[in-house]
Amino acid sequence: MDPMRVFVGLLLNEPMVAAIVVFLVVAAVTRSWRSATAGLSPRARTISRVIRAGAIAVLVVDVGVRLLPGVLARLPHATALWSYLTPSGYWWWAFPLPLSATVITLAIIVVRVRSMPTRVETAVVPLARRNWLSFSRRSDVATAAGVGGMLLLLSILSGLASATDQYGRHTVIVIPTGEMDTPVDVSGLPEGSENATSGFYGWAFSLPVIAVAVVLAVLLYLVLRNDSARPFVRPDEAAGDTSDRRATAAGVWRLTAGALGLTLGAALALVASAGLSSSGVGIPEVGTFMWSVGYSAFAPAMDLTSVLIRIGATLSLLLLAGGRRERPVRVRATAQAVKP
Amino acid sequence: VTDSQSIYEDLRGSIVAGRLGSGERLPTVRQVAADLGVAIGTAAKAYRQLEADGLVVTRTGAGTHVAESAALLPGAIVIQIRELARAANELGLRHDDVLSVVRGALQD
Repeated sequence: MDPMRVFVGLLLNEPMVAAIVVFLVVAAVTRSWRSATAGLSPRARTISRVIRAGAIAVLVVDVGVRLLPGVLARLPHATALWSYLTPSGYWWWAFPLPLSATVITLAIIVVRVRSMPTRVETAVVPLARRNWLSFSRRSDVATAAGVGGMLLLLSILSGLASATDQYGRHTVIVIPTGEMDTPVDVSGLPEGSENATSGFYGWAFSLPVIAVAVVLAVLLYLVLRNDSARPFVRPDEAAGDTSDRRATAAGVWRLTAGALGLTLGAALALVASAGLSSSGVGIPEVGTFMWSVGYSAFAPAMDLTSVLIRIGATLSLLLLAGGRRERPVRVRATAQAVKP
Repeated sequence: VTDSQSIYEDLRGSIVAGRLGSGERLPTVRQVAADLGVAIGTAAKAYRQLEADGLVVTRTGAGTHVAESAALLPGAIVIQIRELARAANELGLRHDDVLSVVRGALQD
């Protein structure tokens, strides 16, 4: 048997193995923090640590949600707790969790930055106009905007395609079975309905994601605007300070893109699973008739894409948590000292 | 203490020395005031003086730009030179080597 498959299987199904792996990763990451923040100003070091802790929090939350059912299944009397957390299989809270962890991280940065006002020693005349995007790399902005745009598009399209379940929540998609004398006998079929349904990323899941994503976008803007707007301390620190601001901008963009990627991957996986499912009916001496949703031909590709997106987002967050830094900028002709 | 005259002289020096190209957009008055810790009126006075000397042009809604006749080089060229300098510094290149290549490229 493929050792990789065995490892992944243990990771996903054995909470103790997953806990040990998470502990080892966190230990390795935190050991690298000291070297990763060397050369940064105290302000940038603080922000960098918050961003790295945020990346770990997002990963832990994402892994935790996947392991929770397995953990609860091993605990006595945990069935009631699981039923409470997922009333009638409605686990909407799992989707916006990585985004929520990012929101908390950015909120902490906003508060911390406010508590560390810049004390100007020698005024520096700015030569370049600064706005909230001044210290962001185009590739970071494009990545986060692209992933966020895809998540928004998927959330809206899926919401529009979704249908209500027997509790009136948009959590399913209808699998059209055409006109039949007898309704298709599928578990979960709404009473009186002639169509089969499958669990789907409908409004009941996507609206909370959209709401948290909007809050995340506002906080991201606030972090970048506040860091860009503050003055330089003195001329000889302008280049280093510019480098610090670039590092902060890169960190928050990558954290946001990673969290959006994990959410997009999870949403796409649910959409793909609905596409991979099918309903059928067997008629004696005639045959078996199967139905599936309209996009089922693309479902395997969507499923593979969701896995790739999740792997990419996880690796990106691991690199961020591990302290991967851009090469520092030494000189920039964006400011100069004021003559006395 | 920074007054409007010193702000004027610094920005004027940057334009004349070629650190700002023609058509380049200057920081907002609000940003200059915030960075220097002065009142907005003080920074605005310096901008008015630059405009009176023909060094900058202010258009409503478009901000303040370096005047065509005031700068050494066009803004687009200065921005590219700045990017070149930044990239060279990021890669830790020797300034003499970079300048030598630029001279060669100009003579080609």
